[in-house]
Amino acid sequence: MMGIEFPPAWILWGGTALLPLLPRRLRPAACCVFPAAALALVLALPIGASFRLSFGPYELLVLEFSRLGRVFAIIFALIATLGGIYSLHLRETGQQGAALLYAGGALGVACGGDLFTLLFCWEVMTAGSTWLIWARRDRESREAGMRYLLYHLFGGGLLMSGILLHFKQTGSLALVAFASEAATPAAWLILAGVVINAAMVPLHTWLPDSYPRATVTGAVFLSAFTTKAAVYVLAVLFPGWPVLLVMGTVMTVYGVIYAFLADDIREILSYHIVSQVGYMVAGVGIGTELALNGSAAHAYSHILYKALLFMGAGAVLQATGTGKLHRLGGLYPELKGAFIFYMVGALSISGAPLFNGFISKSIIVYAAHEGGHGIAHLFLLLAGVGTFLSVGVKLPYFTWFHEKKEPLPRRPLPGGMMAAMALTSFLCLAYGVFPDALYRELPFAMNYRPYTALHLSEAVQILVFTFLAFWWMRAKLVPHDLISLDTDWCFRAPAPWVRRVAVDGVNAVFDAADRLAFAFARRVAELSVHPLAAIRSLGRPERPFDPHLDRPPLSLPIGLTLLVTVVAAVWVLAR
Amino acid sequence: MRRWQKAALGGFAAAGVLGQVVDPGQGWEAIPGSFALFGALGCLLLMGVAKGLGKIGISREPDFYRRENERERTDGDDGD
Amino acid sequence: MIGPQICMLIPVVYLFGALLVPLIGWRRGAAGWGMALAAAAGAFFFSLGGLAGVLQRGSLSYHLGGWMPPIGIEFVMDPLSAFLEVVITGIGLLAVVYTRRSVEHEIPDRLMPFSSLALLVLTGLSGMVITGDLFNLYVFLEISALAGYALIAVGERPASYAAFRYLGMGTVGASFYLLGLAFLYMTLGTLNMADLSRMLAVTDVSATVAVGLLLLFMGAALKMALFPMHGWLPDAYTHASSAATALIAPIGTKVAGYILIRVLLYLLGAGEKGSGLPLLSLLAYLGAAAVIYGSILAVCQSELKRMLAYSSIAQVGYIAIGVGLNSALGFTGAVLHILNHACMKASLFFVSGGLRLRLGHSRIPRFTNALRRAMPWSSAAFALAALSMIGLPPTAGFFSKWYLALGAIEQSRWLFLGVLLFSSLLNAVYFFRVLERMYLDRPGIEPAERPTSVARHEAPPAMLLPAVALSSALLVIGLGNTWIVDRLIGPMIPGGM
Repeated sequence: MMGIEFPPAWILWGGTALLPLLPRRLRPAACCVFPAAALALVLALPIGASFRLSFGPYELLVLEFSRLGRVFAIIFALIATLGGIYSLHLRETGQQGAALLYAGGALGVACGGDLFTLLFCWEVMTAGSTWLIWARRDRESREAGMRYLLYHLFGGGLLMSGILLHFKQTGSLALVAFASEAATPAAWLILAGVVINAAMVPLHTWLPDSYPRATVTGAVFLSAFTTKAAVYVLAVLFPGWPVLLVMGTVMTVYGVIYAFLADDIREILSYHIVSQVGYMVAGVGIGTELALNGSAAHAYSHILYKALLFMGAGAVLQATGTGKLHRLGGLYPELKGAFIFYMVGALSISGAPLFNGFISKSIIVYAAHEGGHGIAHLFLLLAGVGTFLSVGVKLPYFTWFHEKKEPLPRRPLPGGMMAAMALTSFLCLAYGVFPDALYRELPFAMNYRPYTALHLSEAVQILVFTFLAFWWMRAKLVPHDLISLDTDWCFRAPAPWVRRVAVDGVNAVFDAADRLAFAFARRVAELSVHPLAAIRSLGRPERPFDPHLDRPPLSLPIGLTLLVTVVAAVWVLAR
Repeated sequence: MRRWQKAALGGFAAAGVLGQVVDPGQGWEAIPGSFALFGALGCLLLMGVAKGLGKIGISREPDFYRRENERERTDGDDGD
Repeated sequence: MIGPQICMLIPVVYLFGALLVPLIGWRRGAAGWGMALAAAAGAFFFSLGGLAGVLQRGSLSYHLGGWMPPIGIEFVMDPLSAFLEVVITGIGLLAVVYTRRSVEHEIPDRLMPFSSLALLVLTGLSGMVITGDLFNLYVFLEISALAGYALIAVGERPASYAAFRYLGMGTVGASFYLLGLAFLYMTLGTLNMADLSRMLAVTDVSATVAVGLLLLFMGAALKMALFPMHGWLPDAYTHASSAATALIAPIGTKVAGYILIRVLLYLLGAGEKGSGLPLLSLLAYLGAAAVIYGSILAVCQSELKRMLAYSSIAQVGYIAIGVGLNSALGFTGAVLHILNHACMKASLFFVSGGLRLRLGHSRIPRFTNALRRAMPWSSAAFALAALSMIGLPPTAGFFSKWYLALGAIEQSRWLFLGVLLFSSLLNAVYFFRVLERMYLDRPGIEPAERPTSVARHEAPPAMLLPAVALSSALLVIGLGNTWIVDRLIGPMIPGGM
């Protein structure tokens, strides 16, 4: 149409660079305009658009627009716009810039055409998202952000190693699906790096550790991009890998169980990200066209309703100052708007008819059934039960109803938040009522009809009876102020011992070496100058360690040099 | 719960089971009310498993990790 | 226009500058500094000309006094030398610009001797890379070393002690080098580099020659502060004045690395002949040890300059690995890293000197995020250089590590790849500690207590601009690294690779 074909990510990154130059009052609006412009470009680009960039002897395909990539690109740009509206009240340029950078990275992944572009955008996403966690500036978020960063640098390192190895073996950086039967070590390395970002159990703990500790607005962005970009990459590179079906199923149930135990409302939502992404990963693992369509559709819907849920929870956090269920309660008449919009998201995630979760999650469940994966089908249904239980019933009940536990402040909610929530709710409903609007965009042809009597009855029965079961047991389910230990216990619990050994231990070793060397040198010097005095001083205790006076004597490094010379000379001459 | 809420729930439940009668699925999905049973039992199962895991040690006090890492990093002496 | 005399001109400009500075600056130190600045600018200009000439016409050669080699001393500017000259003179110029304010603050009344010594150090360093004779290299080595000891000693009280330790170890290193030279001269009868490489190509490497080369290697490695001969470096860099460290740290050890590159890859000949002696493997393994040792110890430090010193030990390890890999990719990574590290370390040390000027200290635990508001440009320059040290694209540091990684993968040497990746993580840890304190709030400070407006108290322009210029250069080098690799580094890859 316009003949302009360049990566939409550049619009967002250009926005990040321009942001400090704009007048302060315009910056929040710019955070809506840039993503909207990117969305317009995404909608205008034809399938198959490409853009090449020379990088030395290599030619990078920074843009290669496929059908699958288009779906993800549309929703990434859309949610960046909605997030920008949600953050209109924000006055912090660092967070705004980081959000644009992060969203741009995700767009770059969805539109990219080769492995190097993928890697580059992956790292950019890590940088932007880490800042959004640190931006909350309290001690917990500093530590959580550090863990998040190290986790993602580790995953990025695995991804890079896999890509380098793959490049060395095949000489190509193209995005071609790997066959699961002929899996090379390079493919496994790339898979390992990608599944960390997809929050696959047991390497998922970064998500519930850091998302609840991000800022109110930052969490909305965080919930949208990292995991879904990873799902996209899995769908492109690893469709049909059986391990994904198994692990995806495990993720769905693992997530709902831990969500049920969680006390922080955003931690509940974070574990549900793990669970819902499990559906998408399982869909990729099934590998049929229907299942891949389902993963893409579910990613699309999930981004919308998960952002809405985080917006609602963020509104509660913004208004009352706390996100802990054991402190919340009885908010109903006052935060009514947030409640209504939250429930739209909750009904969507639970797969209630007329909402967009119903038209997307059921595709994957049906594909599991069709493909003969009976056990997976059962577990996915079970996870649906658990989803409604925690998100649709338990969280809203103990937040807005039940009893008031302590007096909490009631700060007013910015208009941008309410507008963003209203828009997103509208989209959730719209796609639920008109599923073809989404189905049209999916990569493969779609014959699935969500609104059959069987599917409707399945959804309604599950929702009603889950609610009844909760209602019956509700007295026993009052939340307590507890945290759950997850697989990150493995490295968080030993941390003080590791620190004692690796840092304090090293210091202690050098201190001891210093002391010994000094003592030796002093004795020898005394002995040679004043033999009698030296003998007399044998009984005297040493004075305390002084870093300036107690350095190792010059003989130590010179001695080391001589030692290395002699050893090397022997080695050289022995050849 | 108020009357009208109970009535609405009952209505939805009935409609749901009816839908399964009209359009049965395959295998166990053909039995009317099977999803309802699945929902209720599944819910109780999940709650039980979660609570059980919590009791055997997963649920801990909130400053579990902070207690372990309480020693603030002291400014160490210079190495070497 | 650009004749072979340009080889000679660069050290000569520095030397004459160094001798004129005391004369001109006898009364007013600032006048002497001005002379030093002029000399540094002139040398930089000449080295750029030399690089342009070499790129157009190939190597330049100048015979000192008209005497023919191998009896006479020959100065050769080949692509590698020209490249390193630009790095040395460029950093030298920025360091001299930086010197005035920094020295006035830290060691007042010493500006004139400091400027003169700085020029002498630069004489030695620039002469080392341009000479074509191994003994002449020793002469320049000693010039730079002695001036360097004095430069480091001009500082706070512990500086003299650190300089003495450096002197002790440096003399050992220079003596090893001289002894190695003696063995080579004894058996081969010449010390001219071109001659030596021809003779080594046709003769077998006897035990004497092997030991001679080994001693040469050890001497250069000690000057390069390769683990475990690094003992002089932490104290020397920490206690010297900020300007002295900023001058010596980015380029001093690299020129010693140049000696190793010249001897091991050019003289011995890369490829099959060079691998007859295990010196390259030794270099690579010591480099890997240096990387790990330096990175771990940097994490333990609480003083910024000391942390950067240990980080330098690690970075020298990268260069050693690159050379030791004995391949075109490794060589490219090593030379690119010489350039990158010079820029990164210089920028970091410039900023740390600025911090000492404004805060009075550079102890990391005492940094607060008031720094971000009081010294925004310094913090930004530091942050950019730190990101480059960690190796995040598109900064320059990423690309040199990329080449090194490719070199390691090409030869399937997974140990080095692992060391590279692990050290990047460690780099992230110790740099983020500083960045975190600069940019994020400390716990326990209530929002109400936080100072709402911190006055802008940025470092003076003479100290700030070199740092900002180098940090920006990191982005430029990163984005233009393909041009650098193709046009500048490509021609200098030794034959046999």
